[in-house]
Amino acid sequence: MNEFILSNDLKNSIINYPPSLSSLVVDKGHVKRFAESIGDTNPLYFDSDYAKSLGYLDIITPPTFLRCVQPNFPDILELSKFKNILDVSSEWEYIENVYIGDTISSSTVIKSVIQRKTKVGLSIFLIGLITYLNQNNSLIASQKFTYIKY
Amino acid sequence: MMKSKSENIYIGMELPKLYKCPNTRQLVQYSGSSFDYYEIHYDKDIAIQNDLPGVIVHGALKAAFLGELVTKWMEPTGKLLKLVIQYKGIDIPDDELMITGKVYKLESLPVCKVAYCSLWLENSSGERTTTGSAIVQFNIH
Repeated sequence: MNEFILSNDLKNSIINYPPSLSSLVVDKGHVKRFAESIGDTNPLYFDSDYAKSLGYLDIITPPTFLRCVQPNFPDILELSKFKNILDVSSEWEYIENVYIGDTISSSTVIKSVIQRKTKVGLSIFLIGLITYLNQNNSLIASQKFTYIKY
Repeated sequence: MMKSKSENIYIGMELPKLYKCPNTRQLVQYSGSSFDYYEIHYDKDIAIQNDLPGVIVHGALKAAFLGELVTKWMEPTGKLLKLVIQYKGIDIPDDELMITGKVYKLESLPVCKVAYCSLWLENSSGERTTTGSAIVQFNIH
């Protein structure tokens, strides 16, 4: 593994990958199951009347529900020898609510790539941005992320 | 629990603590609901092959706990603008996790207040394995 060197050409090639795309139709039952799986009993996530009484158009989703869009990460062949993945950080910005019935599309790009030794060994840090749009092409959220492959 | 309104938020205010004790059943439940099928969260053999002590709690599940902490506190008038999560260490199932935070900065604008909160999740040994921050806007009615 030590012979691996992240060349500038490889860095540039990763940064210039076309965006990886994904999408999800937000289903009422899915939102309820997601909330149950995180142990959040807030009726905003399953009770339309309650959500409307607070001024929302309908049932909304928990803040991290957008993970379910399964943003694709570029499949970087040159890094395939690094089998393991660890999340380092996520930075979400929320612009509009996500409602049941919405169709959410995500687009993921890698902004920078860094090679560094960590306590798990030689690691490749991938730093990128996911943008989430709804069916009206409105930007609803963005997520800066860092993960490592090692 | 007293609901948060812009007038009773202050610097140093603690967000009401949440306690979670995710077991392997919940990890499987979360894998299914989030489509995260990385085996280290439910297959002990694969987790050990990955140099882990056993299956571990999803980072994203811990992020969801921090999200719940903030949304519970801010309702019904707050709007979450930003949620930042840093994963510092792993957590194992059946460990009691305490999730909390504190307001460290407040901005008063003509129509709203903006609260900046630090957030963290502590395992039963007192280690902060996940930290973060949130920015919440409270409209003044």
